[in-house]
Amino acid sequence: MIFQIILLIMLAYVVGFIYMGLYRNITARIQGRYGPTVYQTFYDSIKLFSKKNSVSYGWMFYLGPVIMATGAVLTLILVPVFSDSDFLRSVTTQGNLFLLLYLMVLGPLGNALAVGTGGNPFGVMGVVRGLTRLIGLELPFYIAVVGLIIASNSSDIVHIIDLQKTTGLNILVHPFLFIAAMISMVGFFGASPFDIPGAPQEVYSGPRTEFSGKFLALLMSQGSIFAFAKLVLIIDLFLGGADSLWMLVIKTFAIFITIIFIGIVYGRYKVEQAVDFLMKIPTLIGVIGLVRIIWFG
Amino acid sequence: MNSIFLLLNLLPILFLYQFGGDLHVSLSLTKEFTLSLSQTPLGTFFAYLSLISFLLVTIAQKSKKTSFSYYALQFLLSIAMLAIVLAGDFITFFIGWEIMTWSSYFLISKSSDIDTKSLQKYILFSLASAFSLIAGMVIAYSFANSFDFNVIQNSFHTMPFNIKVALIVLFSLSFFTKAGVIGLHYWVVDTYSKAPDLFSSILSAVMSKMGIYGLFLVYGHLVGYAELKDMFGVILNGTDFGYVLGWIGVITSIIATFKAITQDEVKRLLAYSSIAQLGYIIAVIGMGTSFGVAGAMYHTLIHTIIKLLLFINVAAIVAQTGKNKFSELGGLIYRTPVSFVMLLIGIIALAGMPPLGGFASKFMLYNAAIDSKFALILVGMLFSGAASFLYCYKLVYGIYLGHPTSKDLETQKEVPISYLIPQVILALLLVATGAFPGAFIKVINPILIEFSLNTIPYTSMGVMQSAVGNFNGLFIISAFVVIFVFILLLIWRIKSKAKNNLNRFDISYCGEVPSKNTQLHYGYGFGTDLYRIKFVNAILKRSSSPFYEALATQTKKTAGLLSRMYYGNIHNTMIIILLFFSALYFIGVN
Repeated sequence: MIFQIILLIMLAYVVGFIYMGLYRNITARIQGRYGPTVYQTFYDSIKLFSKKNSVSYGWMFYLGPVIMATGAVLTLILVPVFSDSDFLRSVTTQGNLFLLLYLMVLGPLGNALAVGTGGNPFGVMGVVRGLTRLIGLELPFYIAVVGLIIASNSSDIVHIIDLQKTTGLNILVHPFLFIAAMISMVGFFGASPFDIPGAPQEVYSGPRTEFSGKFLALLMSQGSIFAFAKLVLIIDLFLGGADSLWMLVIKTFAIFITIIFIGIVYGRYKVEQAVDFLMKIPTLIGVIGLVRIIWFG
Repeated sequence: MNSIFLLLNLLPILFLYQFGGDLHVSLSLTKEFTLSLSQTPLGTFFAYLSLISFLLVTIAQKSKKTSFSYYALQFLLSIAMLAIVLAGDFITFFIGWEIMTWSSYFLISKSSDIDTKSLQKYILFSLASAFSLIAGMVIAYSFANSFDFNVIQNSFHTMPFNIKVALIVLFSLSFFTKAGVIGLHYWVVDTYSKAPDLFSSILSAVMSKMGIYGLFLVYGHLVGYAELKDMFGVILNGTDFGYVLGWIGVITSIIATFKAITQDEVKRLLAYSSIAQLGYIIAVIGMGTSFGVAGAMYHTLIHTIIKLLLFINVAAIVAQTGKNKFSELGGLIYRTPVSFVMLLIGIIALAGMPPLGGFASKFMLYNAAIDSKFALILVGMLFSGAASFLYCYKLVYGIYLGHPTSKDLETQKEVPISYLIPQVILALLLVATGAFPGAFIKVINPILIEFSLNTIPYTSMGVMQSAVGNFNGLFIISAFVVIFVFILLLIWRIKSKAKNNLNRFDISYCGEVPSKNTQLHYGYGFGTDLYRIKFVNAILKRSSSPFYEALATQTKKTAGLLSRMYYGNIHNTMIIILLFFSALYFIGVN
């Protein structure tokens, strides 16, 4: 089991970094630039890990990125990656959707503590923007998740995947919920128009402002692992999971490229605009899907 | 003096432990009135909850100079609460309720920064709550011919429908006022924030729970969940009654959460957060399912632990620094590290984060809503939970993180040990409830039997069963610790050295160097973003105070009109008195 967990983390690490590289590369090509190579983020991470000095503001600053990475890894091992195999099955059966909803926020909150310890006002501003955005961002996602739990009468993800084999994929059965969840996902990936917390031109790089050396490397690594976990979660919930490595890559890439294409055409919202928008249209779409399940399901 | 009262507070616990279990005592005053104590599983749970809370707060009081009368009143209050939760009839219950009201009133008035208006608010709302309670009692008595809970319970289904509704509304209003449901919360925030610092913890953690106890008593015991279902019908998988209460609870919780974020005073934030958390309990208390009751009970327990911890923590900081605003505090993390860790554990649980007990109770609440298919109510609860991350972070950032806002904060020392002992105990309790969420099911099951609901299957200490999936607390907490330690060691071993103990001005600040006069603490600006969000602004700019102010003005005018009777012409007064007595006479004759 330990071996499988390490294997999974390696997989998430590599796939996540390649996706991050692709994200930068594709964005650049769409904007008419050549852009960095796909492996650039990977190189950056290796370089940062081997830096000799890094800045720290005491033990809480040290623990913050560690808590964040713990949250990401815990999320990763609790999301079932392969639907029809016994891969980590004993671990994933302990997970349920409510747990994952909260685990996904545990990391950012842990990191917020480190940012606060660092004392950079820009960092804290980024955190506060992030948490304010979260009010709006979580709402459509919660609606989608609650809808799925009620529709399949279980908060167990393995059960939700299995159920899709008989009822059809959730993306087709519950399209409204999928749209609502996808709009939230754009924000969870930090893509425009919801890239408010780390907005480079406004608040430096937000929560990451004070981090350097191995701390920044750890934050980047957990970011890519976490991104992979979120993609797998979405395909588990709506696309019936993946039974092989190839299906996993294809399905996650499809979701990923959709997020890029949505993100690239929009400018950045202000935080209040983002929350206003998220509370209106995606929430409404989600509520339609939810009401459909409860009253007409 | 502290040790005397510590022992005195220990006595009821030992008494309950030794003679409890099946305590039935009654004392006949006349043929009709009997004072009786009758122990139920529900009462036992609340009794231990309140008594242990009092004990912990008394420990914390050691380092604060406290007068004899304060201790005595506090002890009286704990006994009054014991009488409430063990009462077997309404007379005993009401006596306990009144002693609770008055002893807490005098305790609050002992605070240095209390003003007359807040005190008046507190006592007026407490009296309104008591009047509503007594009206319900009398109506129930007129139909059941007894104040005894069991007699009322047996004769409840024979009462006419409108009387049943009237009873439920009157009792609910009374207990909602104590718990601080939105609209009736007008007294809560001022009282909690202006009461003596340590007494606020009692108010929020224990006294508000007496309202919850009352609701359980009425819905579960006197009326019965089956009867509620028959009376009001069924919607989705739950009761209509539960649906209405669900929305009341969710709206309370959402509004109070947003209000909490924008507060600048630490205790006001905690007061609003207390209202919000009780909103969750009220949202599930009427559902009438096993999971609904279990969720409400679990959250009652967890909220008591969290609020005791947070209020004691804040009281210690206020006592140490003399400051109670976020804009005046900050940067205390390395001055008071133990306090910081305790508050951190408190807010992790308050936000409902997984490894600690806060998540276990939230999980139960959400499952209760899923069980009844109250999807939108569940979304509302989740939404309010997401918004609560902001005030949780504000709490820890405003006090401990960031930069100190004044010179004297840089030379603070750790708070006295007597404040830390109860906090450590409470923090360990939070870890324990997170690791062994299943253990509490054993406490809940007798209560469920008392309410004639199905029991919840118990598998092991570490696992909590639910309608739609299990939560293995032991697994999650051990996985979390293992991964955390692993990553920590990994990052520790990496050769790059972290430069510690940097000057706090060594931050990247747009290419400039901040000076000593640069304002770097973000505490004050926290939550101002919310005013620009239309939906949230609509909530934040509304307040219940104009309504109550207008009510007060009108009442004063009416009273002024009435008082003319006495101060005006003596003949008129005489005529009115004559008319009054003749009216009484005719009513009596007929």
